[in-house]
Amino acid sequence: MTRYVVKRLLLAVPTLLGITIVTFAVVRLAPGDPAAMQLDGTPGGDSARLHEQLRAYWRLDQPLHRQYAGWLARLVTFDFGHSFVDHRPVWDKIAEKLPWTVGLAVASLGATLALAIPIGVIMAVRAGGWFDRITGVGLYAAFSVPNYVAAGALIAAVAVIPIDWLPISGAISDDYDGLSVGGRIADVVRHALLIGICYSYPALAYQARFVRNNMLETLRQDYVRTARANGLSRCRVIFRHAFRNTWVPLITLLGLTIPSVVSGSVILEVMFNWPGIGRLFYASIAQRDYPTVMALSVVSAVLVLLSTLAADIACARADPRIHDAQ
Amino acid sequence: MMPPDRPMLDVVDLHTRFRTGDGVVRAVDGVSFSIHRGQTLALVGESGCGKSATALSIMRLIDPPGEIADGQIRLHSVDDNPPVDLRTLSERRLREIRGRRVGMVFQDPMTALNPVLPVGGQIAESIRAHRPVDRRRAWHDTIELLDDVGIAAPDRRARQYPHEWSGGMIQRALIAMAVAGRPDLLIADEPTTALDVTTQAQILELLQRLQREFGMAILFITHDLGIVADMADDVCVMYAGRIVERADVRTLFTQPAHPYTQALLAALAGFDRSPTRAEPIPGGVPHPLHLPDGCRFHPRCVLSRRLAADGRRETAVVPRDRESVIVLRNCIRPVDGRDIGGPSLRPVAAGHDVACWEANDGAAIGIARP
Ligand code: SF4
Repeated sequence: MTRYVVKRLLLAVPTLLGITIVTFAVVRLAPGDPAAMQLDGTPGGDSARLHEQLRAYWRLDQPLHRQYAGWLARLVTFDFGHSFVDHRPVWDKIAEKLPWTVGLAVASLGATLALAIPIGVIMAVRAGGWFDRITGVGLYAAFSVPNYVAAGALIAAVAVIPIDWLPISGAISDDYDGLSVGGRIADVVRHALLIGICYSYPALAYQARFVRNNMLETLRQDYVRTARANGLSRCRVIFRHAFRNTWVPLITLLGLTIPSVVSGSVILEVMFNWPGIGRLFYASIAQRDYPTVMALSVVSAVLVLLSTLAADIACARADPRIHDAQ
Repeated sequence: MMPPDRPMLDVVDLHTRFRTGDGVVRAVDGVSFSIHRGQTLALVGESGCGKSATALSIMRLIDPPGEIADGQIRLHSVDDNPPVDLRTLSERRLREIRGRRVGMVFQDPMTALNPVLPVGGQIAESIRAHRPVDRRRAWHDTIELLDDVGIAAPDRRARQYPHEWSGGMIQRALIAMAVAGRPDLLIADEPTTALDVTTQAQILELLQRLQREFGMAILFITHDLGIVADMADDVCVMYAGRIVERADVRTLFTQPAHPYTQALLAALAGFDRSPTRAEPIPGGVPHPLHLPDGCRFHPRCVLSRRLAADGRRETAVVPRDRESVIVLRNCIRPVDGRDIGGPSLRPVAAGHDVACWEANDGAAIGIARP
């Protein structure tokens, strides 16, 4: 297992390099003087100081490969330069937003799985029954409504009929600092509720159907029949034998959907004014804050890479055949 | 211990059917037999004749759209308790029967174990399903069982996953699992079909040894009459969902009375002579949704055709499936033009039942026998 993990980590290095090259190329190889072009239209872009700062950051007087190597060396130490907008180190700006996005994603993933798995399993075990049919239609309907549409509807609804404990904007209340630990948690949960629902329900719909269909497949397998013929309890047959064998496709699915979760966060974070990297990304593009945009591109790519890596490793752990085939 | 002539299992008029989009398939259509304690009953027939459906019905492993429509599956107990009818038993009580009083081994070992759990863990799990023992004790028993069924280095092997084992080894493990609860009855559904010849012989030997040691009855399901001769005490031959002949193994091989049994035996003899056996019996198993009227075997029956050719029976040319076949009209409509649904089992000698209107016993009819 350790060998497998090390191997996968080594294989991730070229991918990571590729990501940085693409990001570098997109911004750096655009025609014209990148410094001047990037500053064009930026608030305060006509200042000579900014221009100099950018030229220094890119080391524009050096050959291209030296520029890239220098940029890469600084990336590794989390030196992404300074923001054009408030001149703060870019990494600091990202570091304070990142937990909000990652936290929301992880909480949403946990909640989704906690619901999708039992729903999918019950649907499969009672396939064709009333629960399966009604839930099936409901999930299909939920999946076909884009989450920003639902978000818009929810925001509009709460705007018309305000619910005092249900805020629709931001992540914490103004008096957050004065709250007890429990109060702070409750405060964040309240704020996260609507965006969390919008974040989660398409995934929930998809995952529950996915679990159901995979369970239908594994429930028909010979080893399930063996388990039943040996008198194992229904619960064991369903979870230890049938459901256990859906882990690999499920983990693979999660690994594949994480990029869309990261990108999908942009629109919802903007709509709900959630202080995560999605909203930062949106704001940075609007303000032409190139160092921040580039840094966020790299950070998102790394996040996606790490999650797919984690998914691959989890798959190998879940199925000894994958692990042995490597 | 009950006297050996008392049955372990009585299957009475079992009907199992599957609802499909095109109609109802009567996979098991009125099957009855008994298995005696410590004895082996072989259920023989071509694939699709309802053997496996019979076995799965006894284990109550028929899932929708299939259902056991009628009949009794009486399992007797070793002490003097009254028999239980497995057909009407609750799921909860069935679990106490499965793996404990009735064990089952399936055809394809490569898919019969959970691929993501170690082999030993799966056996230990079965042990713990029936006995209140802790993990260590169950693991210890697992190693012992594996050793007993001939797995070398069972300690190391038990920690491996199914894909690291050969088919023959897995079948041994599955047998170990099935007999872990010391069942009174073992159902073996084509347990050697997926294995090579050498392994096949070893598995059969293992089953016979375990049977001697534990005194369990075996319901042995196979399409291979060669194995039947080695394994069985009694034989039921199935065709299209029904038992067509029932006898002890000696009688069946020396005096087969049903034309289908005779054809199977002739094919077996032919197999010994020439290595290429294209088709054991001319024609194929009838489509389960379009069973022939009258005797279900009549489109393939040599006796029927011969009697017709001899002019000893009324004949007719009946079109079937585009091609016309000459059939013995009486094997379709035996009495006054009313279809009575084929011959039922009747005794031709003591302990020898045949479902054929024309058979007396093999000798009397004088059909060529191997
Ligand atoms: S009843 Fe007629 S068709 Fe059927 S097996 Fe006997 S002779 Fe053949």
